[in-house]
Amino acid sequence: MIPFDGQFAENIVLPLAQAAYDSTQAPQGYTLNQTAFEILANPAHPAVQAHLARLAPLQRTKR
Amino acid sequence: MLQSMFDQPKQPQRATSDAAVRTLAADPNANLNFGWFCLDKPNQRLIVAFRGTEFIHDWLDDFDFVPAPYAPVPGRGTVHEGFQLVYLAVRDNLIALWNKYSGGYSEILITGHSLGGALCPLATLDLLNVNQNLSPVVYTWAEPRVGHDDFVTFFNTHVNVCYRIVNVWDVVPHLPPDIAQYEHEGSQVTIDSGFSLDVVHNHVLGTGYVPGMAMWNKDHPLEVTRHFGTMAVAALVGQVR
Repeated sequence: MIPFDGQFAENIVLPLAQAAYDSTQAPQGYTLNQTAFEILANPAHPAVQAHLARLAPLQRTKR
Repeated sequence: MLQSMFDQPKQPQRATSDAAVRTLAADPNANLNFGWFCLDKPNQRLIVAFRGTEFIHDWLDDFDFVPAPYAPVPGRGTVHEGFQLVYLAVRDNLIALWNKYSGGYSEILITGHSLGGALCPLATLDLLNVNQNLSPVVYTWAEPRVGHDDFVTFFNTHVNVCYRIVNVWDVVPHLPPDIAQYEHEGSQVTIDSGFSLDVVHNHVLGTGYVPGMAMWNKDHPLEVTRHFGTMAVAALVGQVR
């Protein structure tokens, strides 16, 4: 197994994990629609709709 | 739990240019963006980065332990149903991006925080099933337990590089509890951001993991980190005093 590289984790991976929360701009060093593409969920997926339908009304409206 | 993943985050969602994808949105207020798929051309590496939920209290309140068979690769184990449903909601788009852009790449870095970390093993085995020549490198942050023993064994057999970075004060990596038969995959790297009673403080990347990772690196100099494997072997054969 490749040994854990803390510098790689801190300087390369951690910024990418943080950038995943920001839908307004591509991760630093990447260009939107050229080297960075949004991963978009499909809430219309039948499995998701079925799960949401099973939730109690309170849970469904919870913010 | 699932609902909290689709709630709108603080940052406004940028409109996508892909009209076909936009029409899939049943709820106009739902947050469809689950992260980024990137091409690291200089290093010939693909990157998948998943976000977690910004509503951690709601997520913890709604947490359940319901298991389900791993759907993308039938017969390969049992996983948390809620995590899998979130993954299934992003799977079509992820596979489409993979099919469109992965040509010529052999390594993929998959990362994510919190619930995004839980999506990492689910996506890794799915992408491996699509392309068995892929070399995945998985780094997760504050990842909860995702699967039962059968899934974890399958994962560990097929994924050589998987590190789970865990803040020692964070409660999320302890969920679902092992009494519910959920286990962790990969190897854990424990960091210490400093004690706090605040659950969110300990869990959030900026307060729980950025300082904790910096402290870890301060305590583990680069040369030791990078050559730890070699040093261990050398020590075994008596070449290191």
